[in-house]
Amino acid sequence: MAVRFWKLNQKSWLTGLFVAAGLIFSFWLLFGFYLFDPSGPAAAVNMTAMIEGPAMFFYLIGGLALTSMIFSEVHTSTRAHQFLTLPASTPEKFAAAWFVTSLAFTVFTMLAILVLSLVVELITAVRLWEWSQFSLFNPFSGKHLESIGNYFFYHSIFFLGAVYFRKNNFLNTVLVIIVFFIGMFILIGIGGLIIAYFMTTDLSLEVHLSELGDNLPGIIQQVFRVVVMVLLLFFSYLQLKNKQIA
Amino acid sequence: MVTIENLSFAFVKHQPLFVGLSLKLETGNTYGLFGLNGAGKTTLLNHISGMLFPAEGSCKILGTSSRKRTPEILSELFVLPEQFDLPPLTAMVYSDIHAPFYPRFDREYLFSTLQEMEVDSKKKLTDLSYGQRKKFLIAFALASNARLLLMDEPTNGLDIPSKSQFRKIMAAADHTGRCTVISTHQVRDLEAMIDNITVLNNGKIIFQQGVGAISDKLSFEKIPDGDNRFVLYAEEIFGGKSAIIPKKEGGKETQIDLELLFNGIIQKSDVINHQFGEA
Repeated sequence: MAVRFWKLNQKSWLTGLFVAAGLIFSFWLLFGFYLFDPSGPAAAVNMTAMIEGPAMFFYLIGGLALTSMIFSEVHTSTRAHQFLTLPASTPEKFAAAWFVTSLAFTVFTMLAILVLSLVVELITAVRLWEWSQFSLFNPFSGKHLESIGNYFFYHSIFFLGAVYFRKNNFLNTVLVIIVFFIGMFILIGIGGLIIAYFMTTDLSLEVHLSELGDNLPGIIQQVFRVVVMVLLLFFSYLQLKNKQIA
Repeated sequence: MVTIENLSFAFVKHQPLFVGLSLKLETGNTYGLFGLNGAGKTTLLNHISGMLFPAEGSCKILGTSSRKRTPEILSELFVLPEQFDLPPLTAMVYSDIHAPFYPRFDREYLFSTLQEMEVDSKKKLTDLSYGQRKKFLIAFALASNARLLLMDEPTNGLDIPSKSQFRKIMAAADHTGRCTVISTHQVRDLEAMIDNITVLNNGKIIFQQGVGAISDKLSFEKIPDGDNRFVLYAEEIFGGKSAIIPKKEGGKETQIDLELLFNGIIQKSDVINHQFGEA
């Protein structure tokens, strides 16, 4: 089932990968290679660090865009029959789509960034003939592991959007997130005002609440994220299970 | 094979398409599902394949509710929709990724049928014409060896030679242990390959009989003007009438005129059904 997802989408996914890699490489060539003076004080610049930021940005945005499109077949009346009547169970179809867009995508992208960093470092080292600065991209560093964790969290939101919305899944999901936060902001604001009205002794309650959020132990925040992620995936599964032809 | 009981369904609230529809389809038969445009033929096929869920009643394939879409049931089912898009893959790659889902898939049959139908299996499916793509999917459907084949307007978009090829391939295919449902409003295309006729109208099955029973009970004749025999249904043609007449016992068997029968059922279903002992 995962192979089927890959085969059906490989052209657009590989195009996306090469476009992103090309953009990052061009950016690096322009700012990190041609404009870089080997004799100047910037000689100690870590070239991998220059590409890491944009690469992780493309990983996040590209992955979420790809996730949003993973069920496009189900929402097209002329293609839905192939997915809905394919002899595989809903958990299999669901798990394959999740695996391809999260785990497989992450591993593949990290490897691609590693290769890109290797190319960048090799070019720099050959140009400067200086190998002591050679530093490859490390996906297991704390910073990158946190980014990957964030991707898996956002992925569950966009995965639900991919099953739920019929078209423009990416934009519709972004819109829902924006509306959700605006709604939350308004509700908290109104709630804060009401509480403050009745509790005149403590008008700074909002401040305390936000401080409480900041001071929550990291583990509780992580548990909360995992619970939300599991819930979103569960809703996605139910949506897929009950999907009927468009 | 398929049992539908009291199925009710509506796309729009308070405008039901099916109300208490019941139908039984048996293995070894090829059913022609006929109906006017908008009668709900495609919707019925979508219910059978589990792509739509009934609001009330049940639809079962081999005793399992079709809405469960279990892999066991889906591997015994293949749907050929009227309108479809195929991915930008060659026939070879398409069959590589889809054939493993069908336990009795016959790759040799697929490629020999494609060759017979003159479909280029090396070209990407998206580069083929609509008719060529349809022929590919027909070949794939037959090669799947699924026990339930649902074909929605299979001859739409096929040119005249392709229609002949389709009839030839369908006639040559082994239908033992298979139930085929062909939904169409082009009744003339499929006359020779159908052994059961099912007519859907106003959300109900208004007629369901085997070809043998129809030949036993009805006679399809061209009668001249002034012939005063009792007719069940007749249409004016040049120099007389094309008529459905109750067949006398021991009378000569005539070839079923599907188009005439269909029109007769739509307009006088009670009169026609009465011949089969049904109101």
